[in-house]
Amino acid sequence: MKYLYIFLFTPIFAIYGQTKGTVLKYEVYYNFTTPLSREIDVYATSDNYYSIEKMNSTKKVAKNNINDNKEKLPEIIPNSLENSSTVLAFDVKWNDLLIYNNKLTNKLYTTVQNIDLGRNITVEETPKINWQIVKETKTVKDLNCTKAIANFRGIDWEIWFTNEIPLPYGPWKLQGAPGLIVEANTADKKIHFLLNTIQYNKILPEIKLPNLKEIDLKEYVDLLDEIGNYEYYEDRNTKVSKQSNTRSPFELIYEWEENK
Amino acid sequence: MKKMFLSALACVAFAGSTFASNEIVNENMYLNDEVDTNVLKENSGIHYKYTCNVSIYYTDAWGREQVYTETKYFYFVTSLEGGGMCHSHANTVAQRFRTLSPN
Repeated sequence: MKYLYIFLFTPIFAIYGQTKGTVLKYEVYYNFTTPLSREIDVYATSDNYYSIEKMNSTKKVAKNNINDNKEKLPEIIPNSLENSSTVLAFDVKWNDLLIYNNKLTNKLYTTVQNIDLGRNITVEETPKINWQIVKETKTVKDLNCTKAIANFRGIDWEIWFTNEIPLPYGPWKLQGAPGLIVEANTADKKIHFLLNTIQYNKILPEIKLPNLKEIDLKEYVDLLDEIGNYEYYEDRNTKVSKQSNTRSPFELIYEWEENK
Repeated sequence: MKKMFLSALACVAFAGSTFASNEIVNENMYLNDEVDTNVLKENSGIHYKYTCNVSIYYTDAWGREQVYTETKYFYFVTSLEGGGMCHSHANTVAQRFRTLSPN
């Protein structure tokens, strides 16, 4: 009998324990060397915001000749005798990009991934974006939207937000507008987000960030810059020089670098 | 007399270079890369720099083509066959890249 009670009541408690909120689905377009699109799921409540950019939803938007040639490269090209040059091509598998913004603690967590540093989570205060509202309106997905612009971390953004949905959220780290951001793009059109669907009062999945090392954003950026271009002596007759581009296309200059 | 002196000097220099064959450079030879290899040869007569460049092409999470370059400079007293060293360096970098590559 005791087990029957447990069986009957446990699922009820489990359901009541779950959080309800808004589910947003965005599509993002990246127009770089290999143009691609990807789906982003966002789970939002009044207290927090959780975004998953799903790598398994990646689609190549256009075929790219340079990349096709690259894929045909042999892994190791034979050396010349005097000075050697070896070219390798790797198909890197990237993990989902997660962003979690806790409004109560004012902290923003982002998963980051780098060839040298592996996967980590950066932690920062929720960034404040100074949106300037422009007197332009349009309808996106049957929602009346207003335009706003801002420069955030070295990138000029244009957004279309709606007052009909008073959630101060949007894709990636774009937030703080008077209403939900329905569409956003960089001024150079290299990055473009568009809201596809919105569902209210849905049971949200449990928010769980992966078990990775947490690192302060500034500390992480300093580390990235350091490893991106450095030299060292392996021994007294061997010098190693490394070069790589490490910053993401979203953040070129940070607040603490602007006054330098 | 002058010719004999020069010939003798050349012989000594040649013998010296033979003895020095395959030796690594001494402690103060943390060479400055800005110095061209030919200049090194002219000034010291015995130093060689061998450059092994490994470039790794990959596409980042946003579709940008990226190049990761790791160059290794080996400094020698005399010229060596460097192909093997460079293969070894390339394989080490490739192996590390495989390990570090997110999966």
